[in-house]
Amino acid sequence: MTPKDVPEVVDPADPKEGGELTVAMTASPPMLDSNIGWAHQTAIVTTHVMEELLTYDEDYAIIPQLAEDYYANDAYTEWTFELRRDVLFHNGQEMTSRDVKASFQRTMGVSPRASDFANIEEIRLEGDHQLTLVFSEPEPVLPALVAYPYVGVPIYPADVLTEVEEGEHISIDNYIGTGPFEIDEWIPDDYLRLVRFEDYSPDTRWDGPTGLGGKRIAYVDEVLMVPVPESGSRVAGIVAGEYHWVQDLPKIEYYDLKGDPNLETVLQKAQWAPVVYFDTNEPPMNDVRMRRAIQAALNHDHIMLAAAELEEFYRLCSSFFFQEQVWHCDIGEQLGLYDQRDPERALELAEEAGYDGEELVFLATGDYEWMYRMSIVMAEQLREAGFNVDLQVYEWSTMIAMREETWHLNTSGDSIPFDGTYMNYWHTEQDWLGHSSPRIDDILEQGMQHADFETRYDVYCELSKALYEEVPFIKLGDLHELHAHRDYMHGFTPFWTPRFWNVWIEE
Amino acid sequence: MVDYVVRRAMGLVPTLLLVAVMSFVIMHLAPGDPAARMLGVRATESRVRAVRAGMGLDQPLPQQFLSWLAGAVRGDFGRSYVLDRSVAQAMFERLPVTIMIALIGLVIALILGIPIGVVAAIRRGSLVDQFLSVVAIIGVSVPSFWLALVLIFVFAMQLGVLPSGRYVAFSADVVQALRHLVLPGLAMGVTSAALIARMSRSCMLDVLGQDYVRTARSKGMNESRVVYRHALRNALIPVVTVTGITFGELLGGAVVLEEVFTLPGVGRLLIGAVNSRDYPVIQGVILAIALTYLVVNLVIDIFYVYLDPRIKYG
Repeated sequence: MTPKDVPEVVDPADPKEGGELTVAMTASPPMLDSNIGWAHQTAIVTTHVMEELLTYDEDYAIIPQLAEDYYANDAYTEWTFELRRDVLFHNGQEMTSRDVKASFQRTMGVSPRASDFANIEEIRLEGDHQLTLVFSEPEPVLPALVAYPYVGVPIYPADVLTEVEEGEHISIDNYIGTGPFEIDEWIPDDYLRLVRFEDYSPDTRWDGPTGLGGKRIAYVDEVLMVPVPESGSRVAGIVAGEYHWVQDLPKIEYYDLKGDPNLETVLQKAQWAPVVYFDTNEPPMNDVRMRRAIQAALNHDHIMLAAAELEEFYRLCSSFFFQEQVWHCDIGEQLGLYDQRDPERALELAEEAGYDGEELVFLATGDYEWMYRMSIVMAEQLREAGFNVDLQVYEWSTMIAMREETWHLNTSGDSIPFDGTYMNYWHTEQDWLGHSSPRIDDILEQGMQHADFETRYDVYCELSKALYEEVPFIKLGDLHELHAHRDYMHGFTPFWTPRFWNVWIEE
Repeated sequence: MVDYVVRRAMGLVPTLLLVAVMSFVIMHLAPGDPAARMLGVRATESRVRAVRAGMGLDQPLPQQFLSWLAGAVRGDFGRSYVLDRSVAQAMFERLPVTIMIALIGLVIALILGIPIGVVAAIRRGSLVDQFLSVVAIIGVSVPSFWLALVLIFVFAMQLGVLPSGRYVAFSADVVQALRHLVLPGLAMGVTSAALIARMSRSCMLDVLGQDYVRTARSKGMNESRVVYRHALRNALIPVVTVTGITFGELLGGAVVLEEVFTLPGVGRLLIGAVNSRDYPVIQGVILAIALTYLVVNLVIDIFYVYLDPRIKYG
């Protein structure tokens, strides 16, 4: 990072309370219900308003948040959570074990991740501040499943959840959490207003914020989140001083924005991992040699530069877990299967697979410019290597729908996998793109059987090896994002989602 | 006259029904699934099916349309899959913004376009006429969204005298509300001004060539009186018709400009609904825009009677 991108050193004595922070986001959250909605914009709001028993720190390691302590029996069939005391919800009620139980029950009822908690036999309340989850089978990885920051287990008041009818989403009226901000108003597509929760209980086990937890303090009175889908409008707004902070600016504006004395640019590392998926059931992609051929042909550097536009905004990295994570494992590079740039080898493998110039349908979307650009470059690389590629570009929803027709390759982007269990979607039972691999299933099941980090790390490195050798998809690199804020906004540091706690404005 | 108005009002119904059917069919022809979009790419097929059933999307299409129609005639346009509110509420919150932008665009278009057209006609063949004609052609050719970006660059980013976007309600702050409407209004109005200018010029030239105008001049009437008292009113009659069409176009053009200026209008609502396949909202918005367009043109037609005494509706 260049010196201008290094986050400001925060002097704890400096923060100033007060003011309304106006931030421009790329989109309005499609829903507030974080039990159901996968959208990144939903997660941004959730992390400010809701809290969970466990969460992630700055290194993406699990830390307690609403839990004071947690532990399992030797068989990992019972997990006990001791809760922090005197933590208040936004409606003034104190958080108790009854609320946690109700929140788990809702998750088990409506969440797309309900299967992660399918083995819970009983949720036993042991007083107001302790509960035990009893499992029918050992669940050594429960902390990772609980700490999920989106589509997770946000803790609501039990009384509020009883008012939510079956099939209903959580709405602004019952969006009650324990976070440093509470929701004040939401007009979809216009703005969402958060206000400081005056009775918030900061977690004093830490000296300051870390990741999505730690000691979080709301210095500003309000955060006004304004959806500004047009990137040029976000640029105009931050330059004109109408917003204090803006999300995801066109990277081509980087140097101009850096040169503006009123602005601070922020380089958000590893926001996305561009990938290309294969339909492993559709000939010729059902032959692993054909997928290895595509893998061999690609020049990742050129593809990532096309996606990022500037060198500062990407890095080559074979690991499915980012460098910032404790799970980082660059086995792809070690095996020589990442960024091979070998079209001759590609053609050899394709011929071995019996490829005879059949058309390969390559689905892409124009809705995300970086995906579109990288798809163009990738298609050209494959054509130069001798593949007959039909690049079809659609808007997002149509592209997803076209996966039900004949296709062979599809570009997309993965977000940060917080834990090895994130990779469970490659298990046959998850039916992700119809892919099935007994080897991968076996490794994923092993990953669910161990609690200690070192063992799990080895398992997920082995998973990475299997994914590179079987190639159900190819990871292209790490793509960074560009944010910016006015110079009188202080305390902001980049993370997986923007964090407006421990941020203040001093004009 | 009353009979005419009643007949025209009743004629709106089959038109709106046709719009509803066409938009429903086109909407469902497009690939994409609101349940899959809402649940995200990692959703399992079974979960998507369950949510689709909850939305009523597993029903046959004719049944879905008839269910929607039965609600629509009672004023119930359904509930947004995404916005956690009824379609009517979503539109009620946003339609005033779009109508306000379109109205301001129209006012700017008329204030700029009519004088330009009249001056060009009066000075026909002169350098002024040629200059104004070129300006009008440029105005017609420039895309409104490009003009919007230029206006933002100049007035918001460089000069810092006007905001780059967003909407402030008049009830909150009249001055700020007006400041936030200037650039969108200009972007919207300039293109239409060019059209109105060209129309005004043509109509004015036509009227100035009429016998009664020649008679007025030969009687020694002052040229200003000839133009502004006798010719202009008659020349503006066709312009009134164009105004109604222009207003409808402005409503449609608001879709793009609302994105550029971050305005919470019906246009952005529609774009978001299309992206997320929020069928009830798409259906409701298209119907609302069609109804607005039809009503405005009906009002223009009625107003026409008062402008041109020769017109009688029986």
